[in-house]
Amino acid sequence: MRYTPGPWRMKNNGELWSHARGATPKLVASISWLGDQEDRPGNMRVVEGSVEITEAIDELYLLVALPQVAKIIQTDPVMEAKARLILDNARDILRKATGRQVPDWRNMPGHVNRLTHNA
Amino acid sequence: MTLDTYLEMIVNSGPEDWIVMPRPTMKHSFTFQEGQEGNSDRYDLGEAPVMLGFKKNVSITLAAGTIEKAKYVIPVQTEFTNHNARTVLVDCFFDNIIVHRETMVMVDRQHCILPLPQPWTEEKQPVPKGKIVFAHLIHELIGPFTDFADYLERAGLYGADLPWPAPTKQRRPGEDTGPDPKSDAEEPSD
Repeated sequence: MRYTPGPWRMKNNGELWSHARGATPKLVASISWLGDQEDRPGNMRVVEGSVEITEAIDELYLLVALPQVAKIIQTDPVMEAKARLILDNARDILRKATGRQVPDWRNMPGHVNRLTHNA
Repeated sequence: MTLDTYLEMIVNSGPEDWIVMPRPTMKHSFTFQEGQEGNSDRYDLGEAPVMLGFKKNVSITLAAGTIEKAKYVIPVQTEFTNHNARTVLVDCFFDNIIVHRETMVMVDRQHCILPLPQPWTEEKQPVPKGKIVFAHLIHELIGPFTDFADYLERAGLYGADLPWPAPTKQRRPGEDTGPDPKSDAEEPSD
């Protein structure tokens, strides 16, 4: 599944544009705002940031799911309990946003085949 | 120092031989962009996100991670063709003078930095071995925490004894990243 690359920027008239580097700006959507007037600036920012937020969560999840990081989290029961809440939530969001299966952070494939030829 | 010697020093190095310096990197570039109505020219100012300094010879530095094409469509059918990919630049400096530019491709929603075959015409595509090691180094230094070798294989790329850099004209940003037949296609509705 492909999506229009970010960054996305929204005009006040509700037009949502992609300003992807190396490409001509492209209209992604036109949104008619409903609901509370005072929520609209905030809603605009959430929509504008959605691509970059998803990509950032994706990368953070890969970082936290590194076996050595996951192991540190699991050494402290209190930290692990909080981390589970946060990371299970992040996993659900990633599944929803990407449409892909996301492995459990405690059981991600390892970071193998490192470049060690000259180490 | 020749370019071959320069690149050889890089591909014979390991991640531990490099200093990673995030922004500010002081390596800025202007990229031409059409305006939203297609008639107003504008330039975007970008900054390389990371500088890499070679500990064994501080004359060698790399500016890595500048996005070249945010929407790159892999021109052959691979496991990653239907997912977002982008090309990124690695500019290679000697005494702060650019001596080489390498273009890489981030595949699978930016989950791995791979060498960009030029051209990329085969589902099983040979790539110069040196270029693969170079890309692996960059992936280790600034890429996501994923398995480079696994992604390389899944992308259908393999090492071959080919000349690197290829004996062609020097590329400029936005040029010659291989066929991109779908780049102007309509966005999928989903």
